[in-house]
Amino acid sequence: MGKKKIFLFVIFVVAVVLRFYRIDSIPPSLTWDEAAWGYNAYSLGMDGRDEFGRFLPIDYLESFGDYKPPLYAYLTVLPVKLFGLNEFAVRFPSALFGSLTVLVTYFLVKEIFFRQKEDKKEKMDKKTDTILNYTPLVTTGLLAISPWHINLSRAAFEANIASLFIITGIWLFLYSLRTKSWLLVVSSISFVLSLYTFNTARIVVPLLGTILMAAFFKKLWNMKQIVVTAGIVVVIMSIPVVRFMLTPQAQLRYQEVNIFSDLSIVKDANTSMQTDYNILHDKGYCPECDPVSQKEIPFWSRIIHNRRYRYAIEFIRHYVHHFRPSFLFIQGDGNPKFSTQDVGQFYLWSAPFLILGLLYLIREKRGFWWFVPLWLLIGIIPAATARETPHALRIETTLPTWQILTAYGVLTALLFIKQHIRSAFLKKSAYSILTLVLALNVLYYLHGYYVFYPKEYSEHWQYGYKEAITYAQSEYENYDAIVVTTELGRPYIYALFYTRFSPIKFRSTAQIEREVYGFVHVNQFDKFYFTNDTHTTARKFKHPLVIDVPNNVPDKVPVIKTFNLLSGEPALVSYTYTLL
Amino acid sequence: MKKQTFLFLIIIIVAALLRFWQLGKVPVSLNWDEVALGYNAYSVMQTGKDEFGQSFPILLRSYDDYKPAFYMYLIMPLISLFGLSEVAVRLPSAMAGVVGVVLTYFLTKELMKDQRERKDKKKITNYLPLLTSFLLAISPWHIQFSRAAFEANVSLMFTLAGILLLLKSIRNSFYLIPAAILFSLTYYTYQSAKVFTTLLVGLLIVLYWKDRIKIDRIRIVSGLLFILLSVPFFWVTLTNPDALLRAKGVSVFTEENPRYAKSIVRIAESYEQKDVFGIVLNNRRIVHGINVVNGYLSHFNPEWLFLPGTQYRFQAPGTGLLYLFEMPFMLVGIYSFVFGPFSRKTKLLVFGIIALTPIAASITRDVPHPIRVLTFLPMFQLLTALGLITIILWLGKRHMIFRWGGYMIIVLLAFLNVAQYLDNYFIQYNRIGSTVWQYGYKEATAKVKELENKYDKIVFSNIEPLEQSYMFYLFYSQYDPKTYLEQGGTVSGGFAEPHAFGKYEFRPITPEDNKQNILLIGRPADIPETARQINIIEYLEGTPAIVIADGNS
Repeated sequence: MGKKKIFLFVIFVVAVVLRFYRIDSIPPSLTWDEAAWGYNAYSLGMDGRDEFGRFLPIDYLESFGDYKPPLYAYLTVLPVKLFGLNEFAVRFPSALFGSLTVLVTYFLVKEIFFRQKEDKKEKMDKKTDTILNYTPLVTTGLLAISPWHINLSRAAFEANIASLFIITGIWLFLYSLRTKSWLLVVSSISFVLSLYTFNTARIVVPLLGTILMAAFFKKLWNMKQIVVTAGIVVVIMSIPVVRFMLTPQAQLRYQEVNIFSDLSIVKDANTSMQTDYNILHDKGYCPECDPVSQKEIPFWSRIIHNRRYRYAIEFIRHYVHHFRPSFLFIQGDGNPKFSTQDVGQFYLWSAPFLILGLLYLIREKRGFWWFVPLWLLIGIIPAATARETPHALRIETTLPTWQILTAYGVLTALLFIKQHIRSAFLKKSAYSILTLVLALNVLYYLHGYYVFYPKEYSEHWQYGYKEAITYAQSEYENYDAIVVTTELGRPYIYALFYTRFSPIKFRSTAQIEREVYGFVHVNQFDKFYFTNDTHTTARKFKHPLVIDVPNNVPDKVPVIKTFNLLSGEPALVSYTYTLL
Repeated sequence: MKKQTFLFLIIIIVAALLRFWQLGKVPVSLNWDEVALGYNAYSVMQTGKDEFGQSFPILLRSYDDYKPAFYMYLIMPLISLFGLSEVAVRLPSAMAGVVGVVLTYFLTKELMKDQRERKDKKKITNYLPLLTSFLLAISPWHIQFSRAAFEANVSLMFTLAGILLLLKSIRNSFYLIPAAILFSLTYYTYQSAKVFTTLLVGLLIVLYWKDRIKIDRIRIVSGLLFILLSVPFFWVTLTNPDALLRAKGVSVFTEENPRYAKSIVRIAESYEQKDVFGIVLNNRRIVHGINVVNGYLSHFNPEWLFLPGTQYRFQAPGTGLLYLFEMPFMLVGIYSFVFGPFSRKTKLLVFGIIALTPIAASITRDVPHPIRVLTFLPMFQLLTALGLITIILWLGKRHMIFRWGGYMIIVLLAFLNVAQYLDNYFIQYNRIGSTVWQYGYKEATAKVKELENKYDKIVFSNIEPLEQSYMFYLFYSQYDPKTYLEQGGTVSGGFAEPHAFGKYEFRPITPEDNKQNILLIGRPADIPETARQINIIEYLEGTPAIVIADGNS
C-alpha cells in the first residue's frame, strides 16, 4: 500500500504545480466574470454585502444581470484578504478545488470498484483484479495531466468548483453506503453546495441523486435514520435556491440559450407539409401557391414532419456534438477560453484507450461499473438543450468518468502486452512507444499553453483593460472625467477591480440602469463614465480622458497611449481633447 | 419456396424499387460529373475518342480531374438502348446498387462460416445475412449514391464481389481468378480505389495467407493477373504529371489550413527565442499528421453519420447518412461483434475494412466525405443488424409486456424513420436540392435549340453556379461528337476556362455581347440590364436559375 500512496502524493504534487504555476499571468488576464467574482468577494469581505449592497446573498449574485450562483464569491473572500485583490486571489479557489478534485477522484474510483468479499457476482478473475487494482491511480494520473481539467482549473470557473462538490458527494455516498456511516449527511451537503455554485448542477445533481437513490434503495432502507437526517438537511439547504429558480429572472436566463426557441424548425416543418399537400394534389412544387390550413394536410404528412420530433432531433444533435472526434481529441472546445485549440479535451493518445476501456468495462461488469457511463450520459443532458455545443464548461461535471474509462483501457492494453507478447524486446518497445507518444502529446500541450497560448488568444481574455485602467488611475488627478467605451464589454467591473474602489462608495454614488428582468448597466461611478458613445459623453467635460477602441479615435486627435494585446495588435487606446 | 429465399427475393425487389423507380427524375437533374461521363461515352461510342480527342482513354481528363474511365464504358451500351439520357447515365450505378445488396447477403453468409458454437448461433446465422442486406437495401447512404452516376458505387460492387470470391477461394482456389480481375477493375473505376483497394488486398493477404495451404498454380496465376491488369492503370496515372492534379487540388497540406498557418508563425517565433521545443513540436510533419488524423476521425462523427445535414449533393434534407434508429443498434452491434463468437479473422476483416476506408479521404480538405468512404457500407449495416438481433434476442428473454413493448417501439421508430426518409427523398428533395443538382440546363438547352437559328453567336455564362456550362450544352443538345472534335474539341478542363466551338461560346458575358444578333444565356446577374429577356427557368423552389435573353443595343 505504501507504494500507491507515494504515487498518489507525486500525482497530487504534479496536479498542484500544473494548476498553480504562473496562474496570475496565464491565462493572460481576467474575464469580466472573473473580475466580478473578485470584486464581489472584496465587497463581501468588507461588510458582508455584494457589489450592489445585498447582505449575505445566498440565492444569487446579481452581477451583470446574469444572476450568478454565489458560492464562488464566498470562497474567494479569504484569498482576497490574504493575497490582495488580484488575479492570483481570484483564481485561487478554482486551482485549489481542481487540485483537490484530483485527490478525491482517487478515493472515488476506489469506491466504485470496491470488491465486496461477500458479493457473489464477483468472480475471482486475476486479470481484472490487476486492472482494478491500479485503475484509481491511473485515473487520478490522467486527470492530473488532463488538458480539459487544467484549462478550467486555471481560471475562475464555477463549474470547476461544482465538480469537486459532485465528485465528493458521490464518493461519500458510496463510502457511507458501504460502511453505514453518517458521512451520508456530508455527501448530501456536498451535493447541495454544488447547486449554489453552478447552474448546470441544478439539473445534473437531481438526476444523479434520483438514480443513486433508486439504485441503492435497499441499502438506504437499512440506514433509515441517517437517510432521513440527510434528507432534512438537503431540503432545508435547498430552499433558497429552489425559491430563486421559480422566479422570472431565472427563467429568462434559460430562455436566452435554449434550442427550443428556434423558430426555423417550425417553418421548415410547415413548408414540408405544404409540399406534401401540393404534390399530392398534382400541383407540382408550386412555390407561388398559398399555404393551406393544417386540417387539410394528410395525417401521415403531419406525423412525418411533426415539429416535436424535429425539436427532439435538435436535442439529439446538440447532445452528440459532445462526441465529435475533433472536440474530444484534436481541437477541443471552439472557445479559446476553454481549450488552447492545440489539443482536444483529451490527448489524442487516449482515443483508442477510451474506446477499449468502455468495451471492457461493460464486458467485465465490476463494482458499480454501470454508474460510470450513466453519469457521463446524464452530465451531457443540460448542455444539449443549449445552442452553443459542444461546451466543455457545461459538461465538466462528467469528469472524471472519461478518465476512468481511459484508465481501464490503458490497463487492459498494458496487461495484454504483458501477457500476450512473448518477445521481451517487443514488450519493451511497446511500453516505450506508448510512453513516448503520451509524453509528446503532453509536451505539445503544455509548451503550447505556456509559450504561445497567451499571445494567440489574449483577446478572448479581455486583455488590455488592466493596463488601460491602471494608466487612467495614474493620471486620475489630471482629468475631470474618465470616459471608457463599452465596445469590449462590461468595463465598469475592471474599473472597480483595478482601482480597488471602495464598494461602500460605489454603492452610494453609482448610476445604474436595470433592464426589466435583464441586464444591469453601470453607467457611471465617481469620475468613471461607461458608454458606447464616447464622443458625446466626453464632450460634456472640459478635460476628459477617453479610453476607446482604436478605430473610434476622432480625426486629428492624437493618441496618448496604446494598450496592445499580447499579439501586438491594439486593443484600447487613450486620448483626450481639451475643449477651449 | 424456403422462407429464406422468399425473404431474400423481397429484399431484392425492395432494393430494385428504391433504386429504379423514378430513376433520372429524382434527383431532378444531372450534375456536371454525370453529363461529362454521359457525353464522353457518347463521343467514344461514335468516334472512339473522348472530348479531348484521346482514343479509348483509361483516364478521362474531363475537368482536369482525370477520372478513371470505366464507368463511362458502362454507359455506352445503355446509350444504344436508352439514348443519351439521364437513365442511361444513372443506370450502371443503380444496377451496381442492387447487385451490391445481393452480394452483401452472400458475403455476410460467408463471414458467418467460421463461428464458434453458441446458443443463439443458429438465429444469427439465419437472420444476419437477411437483415444486413435489408438494411443496405433501404439505406439512405447507399440509395443516395445508387440513384445518380457515382463511380464509387460501382467500385464498391466490385470490391464486395472481390472479397466474397476471395473468401470462397479458401475452399476452392479457382475463385481467386475472378477476384483478382474484379479488384484490379476497381482501379479503373474510382479515384480512391488506388489507395483503398491496395490496402484492402494487403489486408486480405495478411489475414488469409496461412489459409493458402499450398501455393498452387492458380494462386500464382491470379496474383500475377491482378498485378498485370493493374499495371496499365498505374502506368497512365504515374506518367502523366497532371493526373494527380485532382489529389493536389483537394489536399489538406496547404497554407489555408489554420493549424498549419499557426505553426509557421510559431516556428518563426521559436527561432527568434531559440526555443528548441517550439521548433520541434510545431514541426510541419507533426502538424500535417494531426490534420490527417483529424480528417480520418471526422468520418466517425455521430452527427455526420446519423443526423440530418445540409450538404444536399450527398443527402436528402431531413435525413442522415444512416437512420437515427440505427444508432443505438450499431453501438450494441459493435460490442456484440467484438466479443461475439465470430472467428478472429472475420472480426479483423470487418474492422479492418472500416479502419482502412477513411484513409484515402483523410488527406483531403473537404472531410468528412460520404462518397470517398462508401466502402464503410455494408459493414455498418452488418454491425447494426447484429445489434438489432442481439437486442431482439435479449428482449425475447424478458417478461412478456416488456418484450412486446420493446418490439413495438423498435418497429415503430424504424417505420417512422423510413417513412420520413421516403418522403424526404422522393417528395422534398427535388424542391430543396434542385440548385445543388444544377437544374435548368435541360430546359435551357431545349429553348436555345428552338431559337439558335436566328442568331449569329450564342454566349453561355460559365460563372458559378454555371461552371462547365459547355458540357451541359453538349449533352442536352446531343451535339455530334465528330463535329465537336473537328471543331477542336475540348482544349482545357479547368474551372474558369472558356470554351468555344461553332457559334457557341462559354465564358463570362461582357457588355460587348449586348447585341441583337447574340443570344445570351446565364444567371440573372450575368444578363445586361438592357437586354431583352426571352425566358426564365426557375429552380423548383421558385428562384431564377437561368435566364435566356438577347442583346438590345
